[in-house]
Amino acid sequence: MNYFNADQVAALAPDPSSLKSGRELANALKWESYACNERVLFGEIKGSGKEPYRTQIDLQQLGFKCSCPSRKFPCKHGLGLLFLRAQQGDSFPQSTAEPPWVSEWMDKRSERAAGKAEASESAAAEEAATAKRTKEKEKRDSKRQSSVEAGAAELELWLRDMLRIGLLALPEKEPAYFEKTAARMVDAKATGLGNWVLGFTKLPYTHPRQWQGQALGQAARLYLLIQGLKNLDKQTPLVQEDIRALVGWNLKKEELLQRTDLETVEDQWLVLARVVSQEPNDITLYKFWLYGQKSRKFALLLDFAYRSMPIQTLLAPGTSVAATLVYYPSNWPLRALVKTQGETSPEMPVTAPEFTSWASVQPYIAQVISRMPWATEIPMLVGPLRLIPQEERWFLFDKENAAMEVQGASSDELWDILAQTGGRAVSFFLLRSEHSVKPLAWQH
Amino acid sequence: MKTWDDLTKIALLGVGKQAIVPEMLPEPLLQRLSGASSVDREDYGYRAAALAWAWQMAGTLPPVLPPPALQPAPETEESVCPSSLWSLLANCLEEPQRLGLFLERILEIMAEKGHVLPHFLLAPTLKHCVVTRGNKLKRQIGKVLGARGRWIAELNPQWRSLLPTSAEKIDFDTATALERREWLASQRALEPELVFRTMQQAWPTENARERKEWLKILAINPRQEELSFLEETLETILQSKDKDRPANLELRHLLSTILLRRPDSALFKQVQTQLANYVSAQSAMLGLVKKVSLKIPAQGDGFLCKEVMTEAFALDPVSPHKGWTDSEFWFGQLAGMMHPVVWELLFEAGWDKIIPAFDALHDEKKAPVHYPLQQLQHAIGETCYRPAVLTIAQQKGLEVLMTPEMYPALSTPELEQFLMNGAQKFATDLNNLQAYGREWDFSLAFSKHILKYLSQQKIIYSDSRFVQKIALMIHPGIIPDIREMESVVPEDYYAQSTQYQLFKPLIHLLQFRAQMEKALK
Repeated sequence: MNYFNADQVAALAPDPSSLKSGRELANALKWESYACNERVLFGEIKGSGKEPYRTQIDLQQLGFKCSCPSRKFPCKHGLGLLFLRAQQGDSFPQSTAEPPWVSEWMDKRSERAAGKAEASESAAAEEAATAKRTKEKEKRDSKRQSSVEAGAAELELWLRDMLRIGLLALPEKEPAYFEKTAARMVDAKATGLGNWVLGFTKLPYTHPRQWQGQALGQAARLYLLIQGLKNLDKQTPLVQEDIRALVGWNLKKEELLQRTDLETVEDQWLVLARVVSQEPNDITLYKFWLYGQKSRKFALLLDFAYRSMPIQTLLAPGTSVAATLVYYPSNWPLRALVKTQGETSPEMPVTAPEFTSWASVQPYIAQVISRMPWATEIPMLVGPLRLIPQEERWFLFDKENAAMEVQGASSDELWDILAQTGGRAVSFFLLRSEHSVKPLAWQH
Repeated sequence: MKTWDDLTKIALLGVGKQAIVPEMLPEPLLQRLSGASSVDREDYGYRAAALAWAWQMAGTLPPVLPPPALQPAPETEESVCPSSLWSLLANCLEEPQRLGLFLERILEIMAEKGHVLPHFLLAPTLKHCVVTRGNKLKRQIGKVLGARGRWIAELNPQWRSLLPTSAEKIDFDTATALERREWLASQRALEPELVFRTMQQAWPTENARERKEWLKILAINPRQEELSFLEETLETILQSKDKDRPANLELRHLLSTILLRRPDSALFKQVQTQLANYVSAQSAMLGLVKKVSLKIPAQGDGFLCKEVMTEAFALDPVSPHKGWTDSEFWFGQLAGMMHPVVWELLFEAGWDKIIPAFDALHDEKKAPVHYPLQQLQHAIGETCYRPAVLTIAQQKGLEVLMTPEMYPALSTPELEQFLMNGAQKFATDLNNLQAYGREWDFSLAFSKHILKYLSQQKIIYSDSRFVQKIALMIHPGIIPDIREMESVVPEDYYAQSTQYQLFKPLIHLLQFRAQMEKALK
């Protein structure tokens, strides 16, 4: 029977303290009972109350339930049980008979999944209601459009001033200089433009050769975005969608799932990587990078958590999941939503890389840039490549010895990859930005 | 790239000073900019820059460099530790404060079993070892790295020092004094012959301070050939003009001590012959020895005299202790330096006879005799001279004479019994735990005793390494006792602290240990 390995379980932990506690609970002595079968993993563990906590994990459509009072998801008991499963391997007790509290929950989940499918079928019948809502939304959008246009005009002036005076003054500017302009964009309901402005605070000002080019690239593309907004009507519908999304118009998930004109892909999705970053206002951003086994398409799932609140996306790197994804409308579709999710497999099949050399990657980059000039991270599977440290810098060498510099990954991460690959050529999942790449995963 | 660099230069200074003009741009970009007017400098500048950015991003290939010199790691078949241990190792690495000693233990057992770390744990483990800087950990990590681990450690300058230093890995001529010492100490047990030859070769050019450090290394189980070298060295120093320089005095004292600890050395035999003059035995009927006694000449003699004592043994010329004569002082010093077997040889009797002889002198308030006895205990501790310790214990009561230095002479059950008798308090810190000279699996009875003892101490158990150490030694069957003690309502702050900083962690650690032991089976 397949099961998650310890790394995959660790990737599901909502925070380090849950991970630590979960690992501690991976101890058979602490559990009063535990067992599993093909569809569910369950156990009872003594807690602070009279009754033991009942922990159950749906292994097919990954889901957790525990009677403990924790608001974390999954809680430490769920993680502990999965860790225990990983640790004991095939010696973990099997039981086809499920206690009533397990079978009830599992049956409910199955019913709910079936209900969802029905609901999505009946969604078509509600098309009329949706049309009404769309009309109201258009009205609101029109009002917002005026506000955004005013903000964009102000930002254009700001950018023009910057280029006229010269970028050389940028490193001297206090973060407040950019934050003030970004705040005005937020007031103008153009949050996306504000984020582009804040990007100037993150430039590598200690590396003159790097920041100067990056600052001009950043400013030029922001200017391009404003021009695109000003001439929105002249763009193709998909480019319009991209510009609106970049400026800050968010599409509601529910609306997206109901739209029938969007690209929908059913596939076995390999979970290549999960990247977690801290954003302003106590927001944690989770990025899940997926790759369709049949479609050979990348997909980016985003999830946000406020403080220690749980996220809804339960995907562990190194696993694969049967799912139907809906892509956000874009001239270069990448961001997606899960429409329906099937079984999760702890196995991630080996995938042949799309590109075998840096030269072969270049047409793809050109294509992406021509379709989406604002793309900041371009995913790719390239191999065979060798990760090589040279004079405190790291490079990925292809077989022709073309060497792309690695940036954005920590030294610890790179030494770890080198220890695991042994300096041999392997396939990498990379994010390309400007003139460097960041490795997120690799496989033999 | 040139276009992009030119545009960047102008942008840095500002298009207010220098405009971006169409002539700077290559034809493909110009075609796409045909609708834009260069009169509006900022607009034209940004449009040109946006196009140039896309152009160079899409068209710039990474440079082709000379083939990397790095050779891939060697492919070897090695016994990787069982997978059931991986998550436990990961646990230890994530919580080094709480589980650091467990990591050491796991690595130690892995090394004994010839297991190596899986590749994915190499980097985090090496990083941990660099941060921790524990000597024991450093010794263990070298044994479990395997070929891949040694390969990666060699590449990373910070990790390189964790690699075990092997004989061929040191250039003795260019190495620093510390590196030499470390190498000599680490190789002493592994390659004694090589170490001795190297030391012997470099000896003439070394300074006295370094020679002293080397002698300490050589003092560990010297071989016959090495004894001869030590004797010759002592002789050479004694014949040199600067033999009384402080550094040489120290060397002489150290050399005589090493030689006197070896009953097969010539110096030991010489002193034994001299000491025989101070021993007398009263025979009973049938030639059985009834009583042996020691008598130290009050005024000294041809042996216990300033010339011999300062020359041959580098002892102080006069007694620094009030009330002790010089000869008593010298006798005490010599007794401490010598291997205790000397008394068995001189008295031709066991320790049941030897001890009363010392006691008699002690009772006569011959103060220095107490001193050699204490020194004797040191010697016993170092040489594991168990019969002497046990006799002392039997006759005098351990509480009187037992010192931590003597613990190594006791067997584990004897040590446990001794500690349970309450003669000596059980150590409550890590430094003193080391005095036992061993790590052992506590018996259940001893575990119960220790748990009770620790719970009664008015101590804050803030040293998590001490708690880990106890958890690694205490009997696993103690958990019900800990739970029972944990359930008692604490009386005071100390008791409360003991619950949270000793009992609770102990339970967790014992459970972790059970998992660890199961995985390591």
